[in-house]
Amino acid sequence: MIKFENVSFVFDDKTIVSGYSEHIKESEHVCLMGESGAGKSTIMKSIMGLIQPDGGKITVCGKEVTHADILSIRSHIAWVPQEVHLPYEFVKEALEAPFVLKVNQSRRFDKDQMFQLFETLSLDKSIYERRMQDISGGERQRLMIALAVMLDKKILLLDEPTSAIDSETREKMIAFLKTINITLFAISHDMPFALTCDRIIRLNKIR
Amino acid sequence: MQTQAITLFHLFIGLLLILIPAYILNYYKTGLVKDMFISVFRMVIQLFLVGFYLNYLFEWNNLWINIAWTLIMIGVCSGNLIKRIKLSQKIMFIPVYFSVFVSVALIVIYFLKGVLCLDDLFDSRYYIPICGILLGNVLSSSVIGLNAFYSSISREQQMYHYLLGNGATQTEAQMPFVRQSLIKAFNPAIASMAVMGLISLPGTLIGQIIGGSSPEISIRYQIMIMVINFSCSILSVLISLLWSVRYTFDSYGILKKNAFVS
Repeated sequence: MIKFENVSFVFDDKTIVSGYSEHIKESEHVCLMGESGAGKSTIMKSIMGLIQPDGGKITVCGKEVTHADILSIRSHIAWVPQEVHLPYEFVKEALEAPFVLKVNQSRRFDKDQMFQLFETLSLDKSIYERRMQDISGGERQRLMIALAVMLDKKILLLDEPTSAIDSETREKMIAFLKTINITLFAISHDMPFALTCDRIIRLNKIR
Repeated sequence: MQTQAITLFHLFIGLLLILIPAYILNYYKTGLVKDMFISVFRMVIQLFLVGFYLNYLFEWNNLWINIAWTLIMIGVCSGNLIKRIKLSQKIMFIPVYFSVFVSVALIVIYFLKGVLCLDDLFDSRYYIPICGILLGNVLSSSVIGLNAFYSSISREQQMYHYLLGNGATQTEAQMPFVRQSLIKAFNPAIASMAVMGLISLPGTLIGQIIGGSSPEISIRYQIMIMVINFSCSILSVLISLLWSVRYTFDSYGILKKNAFVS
C-alpha cells in the first residue's frame, strides 16, 4: 500500500533521512517512533507529496508519488495532524465541507453514521453544533478520524493521535482503530498505543 | 463658470500650511518632520511633472502615444505592486502586468464606450484620467489583496497542507485564503461606498464641481468612478491571484520558496 525505496531527504545541506526503505501493507497498522528531528513528519508528509524526496521512490496504492498522480494518491488519504487550525467556524462545517471537494463527491454525508462514530470515539453529540474554537485538540483529532472513516479512505495518517486525550478515551480510540479496515500509519511517542499496532518502526536520527 | 486659477505665489502661500503639521510633528518629537518635507517636496515635483506631460498628452491626443502611456503606467504599477508585497519580480511581473492590463482595458472600454458613448475611445481628455484613477486604485487594493493571500498562505501553511493532503485540489485548498484576501482588500471600499456623500465628499466630485460642472453631472460621474474603481480593482486582484498561483506554486501545490524575495 505504501512503499519507500531507498528514500533520502536533505534540508539545507544536512541529510535528515538516508536510504530509507519500508513497505506498509494493506490494512496494516504501523507506528513510526523516533526522536525529534529523525524525519518522522517528513516521511509522513512525503506520502502526500507535500515534501519531495531528494532520492529514492515512494509508491502509494500502486502509484509513484509524482505530480501526475498526486491528486489520485491524495484522494485515498486522510491525514490527521497533531495541530492544525481549520478554515471553518463551526464543527458542522468542518465535517460537511470535505464532502463538497471534487475528490469526495461520490461519498454522501451520513449524519446517523457520524453520530454512531461520535459515540464510539467518546464525543458528545452536541459537539456537532459547536464552534471550532470551543473544542479541544483531542476532540478535534477524534472528529477528523471520524471524518476519515465517513469518507471511506484507504489510508489514515495520524500524527500523535493520543497526545491530547485522557487514558479512558485513549483506550476507546485504540479499540476503535483496531476495528476499522484501513491502512494506518501513525507517528507516536506513546508506547501503549504503539504496542497495539501490528508493527513498530524505529527511526534513528542521523548525526 | 470658470475655475479660479491658483498663481504660483498663491500656491506657495497655500503650501505654508505645511508648517502647522511640521510644528506639531516636531513638538511631539515624532521623527517624521524630515520624511514629511521630503514627501511634500516629491509630491509637488511629481505633480508638476504630471501636469507638464498631461498638457502634451492632451495637446497631441494621439492614439499610439496614449496606448504607450498606458502600457508604461501599467508596468510601473505592476512593478511597484510586486515590490511592495516582497514577491519575486521575475516570477510575478508577467501575471500581474497582464491581470492589470486585462481588467483596466475591460473597464475602460465598458465605461467610455458603453456609458459615456464616446466616439473616440482614446480621447485623451477622458481616456488618460480614467486609466490613471483606475491604476491608482488597482495598485492600492492589489497590494492589500495579494499581500493578504501570500502572507496568510505562508503563515498558515499547516492548514493549507492539511487541505491538500486530504485530497483538495490546489484551487480548493487556496479558496479560504482567496476569500480572506478579497475580504481584506474590499471591505474598506464597500464600507466607504455605504457612507459616500454622508460623511465624505470624494475628490473627483469636488474637483469637478470646482472645475465648473453642475453638481448633478458631477454626482453621476462620481457614482460611475466608484463603480468602475471597485469593479476594476476586484477583477485585477482576482485575476492576478488566480494567474500568479500558476507560477508561485509547484506542480504538487506547494508554495515555491523562490516566490519571495529575501
